[in-house]
Amino acid sequence: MSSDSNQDNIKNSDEELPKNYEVTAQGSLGLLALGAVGIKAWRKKRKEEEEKQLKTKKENE
Amino acid sequence: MSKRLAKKVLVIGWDAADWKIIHPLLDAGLMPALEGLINKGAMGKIATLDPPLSPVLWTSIATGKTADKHGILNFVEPDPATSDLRPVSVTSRKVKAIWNILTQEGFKTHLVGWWPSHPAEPINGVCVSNSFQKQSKKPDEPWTMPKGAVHPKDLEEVLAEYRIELSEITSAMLLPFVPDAAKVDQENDKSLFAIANHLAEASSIHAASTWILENKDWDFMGVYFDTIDHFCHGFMKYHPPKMDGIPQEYFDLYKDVINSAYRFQDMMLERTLKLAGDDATIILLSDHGFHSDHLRPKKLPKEPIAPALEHSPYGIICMAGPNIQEDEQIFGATLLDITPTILTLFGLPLGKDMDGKPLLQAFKEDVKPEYIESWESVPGECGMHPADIQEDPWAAQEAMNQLIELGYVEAPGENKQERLQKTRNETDFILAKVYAGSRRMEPAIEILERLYKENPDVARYGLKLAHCYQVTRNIKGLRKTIDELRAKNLKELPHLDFLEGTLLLFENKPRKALLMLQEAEKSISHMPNLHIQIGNVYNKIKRWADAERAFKTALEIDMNNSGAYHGLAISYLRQKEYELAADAAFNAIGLSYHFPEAHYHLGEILYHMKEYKSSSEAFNVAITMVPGFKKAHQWLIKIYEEHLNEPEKAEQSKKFIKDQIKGSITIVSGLPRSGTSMMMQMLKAGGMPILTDDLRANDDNNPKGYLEYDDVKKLAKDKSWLVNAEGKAVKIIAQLLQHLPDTYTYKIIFMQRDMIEILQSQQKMLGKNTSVFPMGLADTFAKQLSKTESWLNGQPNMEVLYVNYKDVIMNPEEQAENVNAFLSGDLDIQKMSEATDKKLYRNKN
Repeated sequence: MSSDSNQDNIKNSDEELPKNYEVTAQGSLGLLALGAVGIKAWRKKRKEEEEKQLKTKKENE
Repeated sequence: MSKRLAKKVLVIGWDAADWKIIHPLLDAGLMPALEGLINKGAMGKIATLDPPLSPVLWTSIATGKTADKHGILNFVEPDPATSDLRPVSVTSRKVKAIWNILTQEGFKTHLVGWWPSHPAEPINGVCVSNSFQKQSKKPDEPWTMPKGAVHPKDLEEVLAEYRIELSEITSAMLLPFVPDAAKVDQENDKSLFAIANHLAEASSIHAASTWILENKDWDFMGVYFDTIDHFCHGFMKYHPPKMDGIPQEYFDLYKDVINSAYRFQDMMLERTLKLAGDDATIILLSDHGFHSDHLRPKKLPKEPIAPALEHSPYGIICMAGPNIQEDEQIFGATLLDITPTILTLFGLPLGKDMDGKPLLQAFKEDVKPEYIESWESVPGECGMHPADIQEDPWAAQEAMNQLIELGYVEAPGENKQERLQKTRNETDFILAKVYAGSRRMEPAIEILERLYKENPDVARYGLKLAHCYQVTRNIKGLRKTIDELRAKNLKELPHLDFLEGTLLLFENKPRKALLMLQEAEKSISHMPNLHIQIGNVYNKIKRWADAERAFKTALEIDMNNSGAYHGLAISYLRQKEYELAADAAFNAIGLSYHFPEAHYHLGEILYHMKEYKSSSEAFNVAITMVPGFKKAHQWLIKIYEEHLNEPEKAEQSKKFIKDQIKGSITIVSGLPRSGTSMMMQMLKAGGMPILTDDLRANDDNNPKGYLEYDDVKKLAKDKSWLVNAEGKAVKIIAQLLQHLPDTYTYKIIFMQRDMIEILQSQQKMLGKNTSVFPMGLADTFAKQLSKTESWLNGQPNMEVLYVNYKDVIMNPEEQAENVNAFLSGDLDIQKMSEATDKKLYRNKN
């Protein structure tokens, strides 16, 4: 039985994605099915893509 | 504390998951995570409870108690703050859930998405309520997490990050569900929106649960998904094979949705199992199944909780873990067994007030569960809310909108009061169904009689009331309700024919019953229970081949119907088709293990196949389920003495019968002059031993003799003479029946006759003027009969056959046949019918 309380320390929430997982800005069911780490990786990728597109757009302007 | 069998337990709820969809996917290798779980554990069907409403069921799963005890009775409940309705909240649960018990015992306990679990309970761990994932219906407003969705509060911000908003779902995620999504007319068809909604909500629950598994220690975790249920309610009508009336265009677009939903659920399962680890004990279950074949209703009635008609009665259960049997079938599981099973896995005692049992057959080790009176009286902090908790009404309203969209809740009218009253009625109706579903007919009938009286136009109240009268064999009530419903000329008429057919069977009119059931068959031939009842009639009148056909028809409609297999087994048995009978009996047991009559008949079949050892095993299972099953004991005595040479075991059954099982007495009853003497004469002529002292000689009123026993008159004061009646028939008038002790079992042949005829006959016998009808006496007798009949309904040791005097006079052979069938005897039917005399029917009305 665990003895720690609700305030126990959060463990490493930046767990690596399983190998061979392609993360695209569009996302996938596979990423959703990975749960928290999948969502985090997908949103990170999406943000990177948006910033990249914004940067390209600005450069073009 | 008993031995702990599980280090940690993970319960995963898949609402509405059904083996009928899963098996083909497993065969095609499309649900690898579930396949892995099945391969290293035990699996089976799990019986749902009636009514199959998810919040009611998941609370029974979490408490081990029926809904009348746990208090969650509907999708909605009144909100005292607004005088309107709100989605049912966890604060309405009256008893401790498994996570409260485990919290109280110091286990680290997490819960995600359970229905209902909002507002999140302050358990010893993380609680993410069923409002956490709900999508806002106002696209222009920010999507905020409902207050109270997460416990502890310091995790609200962290977990809110893992909620997936509807707008985030992309075409890449939708295409596996609808490959031709581009063809969807999104102006008029909101199906893609619904799929995205279900995906966003499922992913939110999954993300929260995986985050907890990754970041928190745990002993117990429960995760619930409504995903499959919601997909099924929206898209099962498009699942192959194509249903009549579904446009080809829609079928082509959405035929893959259901399989894709299951596959997505399996993908999420793979991740969950990986995070849970090999040392976790997994329990994966659904609360009910979902019709996916020809049993899919073509149209749902416009009434509350109508979508539940799409649910099928068996869900799935899989268990795997260090102390769980591998490659084992689980038989006879019900939703009420889950909490007792979890408590046993943690080495904790069961509450005697729980309605389920632990699934010990799934464990590797022999376990003897310990019991306490109730967990409710065990003191200590258990993580339930204080009584005065308040809820965010906006969060509740959002969830309510979804329920309205799903069709579970009537769209709000202008009159809140009327809506509240309607919901109150429906909640009471559900409570009545809960009582009826657990065979507590008295409180069910009390509620239904009131509901039907106050709402005479709501046919389903009347139909359910009639059904309860049918179960309790309240013939008068059933007749009255059927007549009232018929007078309303309702569209439910075929169901009335079905009920009336059953009524006629009770009234000992199997041939008329058959005609009525065949009439019902013209309109509701899709109902397996109708064919089962037809089969039962044929079995009763010994038309075994016809019975066989009827049960086979029931099985063509529903191949998982244990009652149909049981009836089929009996019809084969009586035709001496023992191999086929055995197959059918095994099928009945496989589908519904707790089926003592099926085990009994299997024993009889195996005996005829000379499989004496197996036969004894089947009879032993029957008496394990029903210890007082006298006929099973009698078979065992015969087998042990005559075939297995195990006299000591035969002796055990003999001793049990002698010490524990009450003797059986046949009673002929009714009002004086209702035909009781005639029935006694029939029984005597048929070869039945009669208890009579012949003190009362025959006379003009009864030229063939009264066949009475003088001590019967003092039954209220002296019951010692009943020992002389064991195995015999004795005449006891209706008014004295209530003095019978419960130390015996009784088969009562209750004679019924027109009251005017009875009283005229009595007047004549007493030498009174037969032209003066004693109205007051008629009223009193009618009340006494009604009271006696209701009392008989509640007596577990009394079995009653109602026989109409006139029917016996008109069709003596048919009635003799039925009496013989009721007594399971070998009476001489010809001699019985010859004992009647039409000439003695002198007082006709």
